[in-house]
Amino acid sequence: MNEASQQTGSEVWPDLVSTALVGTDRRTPPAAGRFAASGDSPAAALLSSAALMSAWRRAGSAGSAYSAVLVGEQDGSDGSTGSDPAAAQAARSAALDTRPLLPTATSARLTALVASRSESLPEYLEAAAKTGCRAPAELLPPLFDYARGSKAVRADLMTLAGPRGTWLAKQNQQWSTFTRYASAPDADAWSSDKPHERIGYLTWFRGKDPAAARVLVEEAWEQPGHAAETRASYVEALAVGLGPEDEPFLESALDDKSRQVRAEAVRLLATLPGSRFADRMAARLHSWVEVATEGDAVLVTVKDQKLQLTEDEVRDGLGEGWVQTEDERRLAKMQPAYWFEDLIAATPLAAWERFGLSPAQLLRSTAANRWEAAAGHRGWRSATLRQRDAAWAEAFCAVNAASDMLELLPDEAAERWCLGVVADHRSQYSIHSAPIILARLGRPWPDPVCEALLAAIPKYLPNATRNDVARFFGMDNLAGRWMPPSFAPAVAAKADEIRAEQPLWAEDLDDLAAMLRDRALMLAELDVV
Amino acid sequence: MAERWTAAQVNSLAPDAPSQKAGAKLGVPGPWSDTGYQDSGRLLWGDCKGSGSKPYQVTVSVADSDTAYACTCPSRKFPCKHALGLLLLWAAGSIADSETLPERVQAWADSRRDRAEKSAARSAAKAEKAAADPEGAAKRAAQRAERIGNGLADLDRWLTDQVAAGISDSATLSYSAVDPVAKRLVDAQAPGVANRVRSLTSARSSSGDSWPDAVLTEFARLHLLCEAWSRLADLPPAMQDTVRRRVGISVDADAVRRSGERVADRWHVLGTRDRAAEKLTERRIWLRGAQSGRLAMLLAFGAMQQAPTLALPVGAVYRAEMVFHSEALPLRAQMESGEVDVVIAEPEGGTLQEAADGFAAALAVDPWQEGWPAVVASAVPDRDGELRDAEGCRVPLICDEPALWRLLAVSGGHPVTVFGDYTDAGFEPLTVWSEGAAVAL
Repeated sequence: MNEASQQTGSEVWPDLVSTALVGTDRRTPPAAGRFAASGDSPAAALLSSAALMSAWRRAGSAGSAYSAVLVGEQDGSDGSTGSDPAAAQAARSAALDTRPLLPTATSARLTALVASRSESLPEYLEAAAKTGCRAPAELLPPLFDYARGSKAVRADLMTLAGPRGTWLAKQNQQWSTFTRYASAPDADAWSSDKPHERIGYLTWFRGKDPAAARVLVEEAWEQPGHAAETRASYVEALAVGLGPEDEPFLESALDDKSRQVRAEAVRLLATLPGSRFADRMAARLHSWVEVATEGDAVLVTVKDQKLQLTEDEVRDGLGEGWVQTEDERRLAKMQPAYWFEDLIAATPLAAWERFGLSPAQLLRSTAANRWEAAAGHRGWRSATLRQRDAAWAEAFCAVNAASDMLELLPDEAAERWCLGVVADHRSQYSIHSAPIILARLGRPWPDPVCEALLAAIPKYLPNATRNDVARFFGMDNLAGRWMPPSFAPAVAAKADEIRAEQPLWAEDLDDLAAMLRDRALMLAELDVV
Repeated sequence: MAERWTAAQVNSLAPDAPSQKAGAKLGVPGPWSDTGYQDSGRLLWGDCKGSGSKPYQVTVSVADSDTAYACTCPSRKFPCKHALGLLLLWAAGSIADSETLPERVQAWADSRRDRAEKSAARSAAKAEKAAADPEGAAKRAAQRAERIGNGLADLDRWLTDQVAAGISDSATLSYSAVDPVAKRLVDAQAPGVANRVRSLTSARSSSGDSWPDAVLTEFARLHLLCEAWSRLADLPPAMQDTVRRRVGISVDADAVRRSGERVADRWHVLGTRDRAAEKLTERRIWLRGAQSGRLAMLLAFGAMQQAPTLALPVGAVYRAEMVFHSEALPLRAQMESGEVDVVIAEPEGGTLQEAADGFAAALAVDPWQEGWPAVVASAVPDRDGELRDAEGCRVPLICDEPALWRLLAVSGGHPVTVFGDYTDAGFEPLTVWSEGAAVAL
């Protein structure tokens, strides 16, 4: 026996590889020991040995790049996750969801809707979330991928997904922010090192116990290591269940060294009627601003062109330009009344009632110069959005229907607005735009609006082409998505009514009716759950 | 009554992702009319409203081992989106049972039966002819064997020449160097070896720093195949068949049916995998006998943009006879028409060590084996792409991102039963069981 036969297989293999690389013409093949095989030439012998060796290696030699790494679990390697083994176990696996699984038919429907990224998926998820069932786990990854592009479905999706969804979302960076929509976040989320998990927990906890949640935030203020951005988000989270008892803390946050935190505090304080801050701002508004009317014209003037703000005024955020871009702020600084926009944005909108004008009238107002007029408008706009004021939002929608304003409308105001849109657009040239504008509402169209749309049909465009018809219902068949399914019979009846004269219209109405029926059917599947 | 398929199963029939999406869009009752399903004939039909004035007429045979589709649409995809939509609708239970077939469906079913009978008659005639002229058949086989022998001798010379000169030169395994060798093997009627030789180029480019190991391994296996062929007559008969198959001599399905080993059992469908290979879609379906514990693999092919016609739902159980191909390690098989049986909740599984041992045992018999199927019980996947079993062994998972996330979602960090292909590079998960239901990954 020569020395080489004592070599182990894992020592022979590299020799074989390096010899093959150089070539057997230049280097004698290694004696492969018990892996040596015969061959007529050195090269053939090397290949035969390699055949034997590679099978041996593939069959499970540890440490080779090719074989499966089969190593034992090292005890204590998970020690860093926490000293409590039960907690570590809980983090590693999802809690049990005792709710029943969605019925097979529903799951199948959901599978198809996700696969086609259907327009009716949000509606279906919302309905499915109400059944109190859980979604099959294998559907969660595609649903999560869908939710990355659609914020609106996340709350319903997380309800449907349950603890399994929360666990899964945490495993993937791209989904991890969804955990804040979970119905019940983990108890240890507050001690997580990921800010969004803490914020998600805080938002949830605030909804359950506002006072205790505020105490958590106050405690966090005492501890170092919270980034300004995170602390600002904590203040923002207090918007849930905001009440007079939050005022002392928010008032103290006005002295925070971070601009972001102060901005959030100002924002919340402005929505607290009767707070000291709100009173101060209202008093400033009434003493600095004057509103004059002359016939229909309204003029808003800044009485007192203060050039130097007092320390108290700066503390309340005047002149900070919260919502402005860098450029806007620079421009504003050149204006005598550079604090004007901040003043309006942070003053309770109710303070304007003193002038005896409606929001709509104020929105039509002019000012001494263009900059002041624009600043006033921007101020009202941010005040409306911050204070979620429905009356002002309606006045804004009457001018320009931005979706953020539409969201603030109560149902009854939304219906009024929709009817206005359809009535305004009841001409053969502009009714196309009605569905597109209506879709911005982001919720099912009110029944009277659908009736008005249907009523417009025979009168609209006697020689409609197919394109016109498609446009009438919006580009992506907005009617199919937002009309309540209960309208299917009415749509079908309308189709029959006009079939003789308007066959193209009738066909499109047939399609719409079929779509509505499909939706009704899908929703009915869920009702029987 | 035979079971309706699940939506996931229907989706697995789609030739590609866009058709799956388009099919899902049609999986609602809206565009459909005159639909029906006959359980006895496993036939499904309906009219789908398209952009034209005439609706497309769709007919589908959902017999498990004999899926077929017909549609009047001009799409070259197969099955087309209309067939997929109709199947989804059926899977959702929205199509009523009917005993009477529409005329066109009856005609289609009849013509299919005619064709099946004719092709059976043809193959019977062919077998008869071969039986009538055993000398001629033997002569042809000998001619091919000689051609293959010459081709493999050339290949072996090329291999040893490369190793003698050294394989470090990057030109050795460039496409222009390898392709003539592969072409020569195609001419020599050894397509199986030709494909292996072609994959040498990618073995070099895709293995990173360890490419010398990958290339030498593949060289060695090719050399072994050449050696085996030159000594074919000395090998045991089953091993001879294995070598023939590796070389690329296709097996006559009728011959297998006549002489193959038959195992009657309740066959549990463990998993299926589709892979695109050389203008074809190759589908593998693995089953395990409930009593015998035998593993079987069915192989089916579909042309480009077409899904293979053989589609068995994962998790289903068939009471059937499996006819195994003759091989040193019998795995590939053909299923004789079987009946759907009571579903088995979850297959019994072993440990990762057992899976590794199974693969090692398979390699010991057939060194050209790429992987060996295994069911692993109480396995926990993690997001780093590893699978850990109850004994604490780990193995890397080989799968794409969506499959890994589906596996993680179903497991939720809890132990699950997983079926997959155990290879030397890791474990490719194909099916996972959760709450008694099989989920294809």
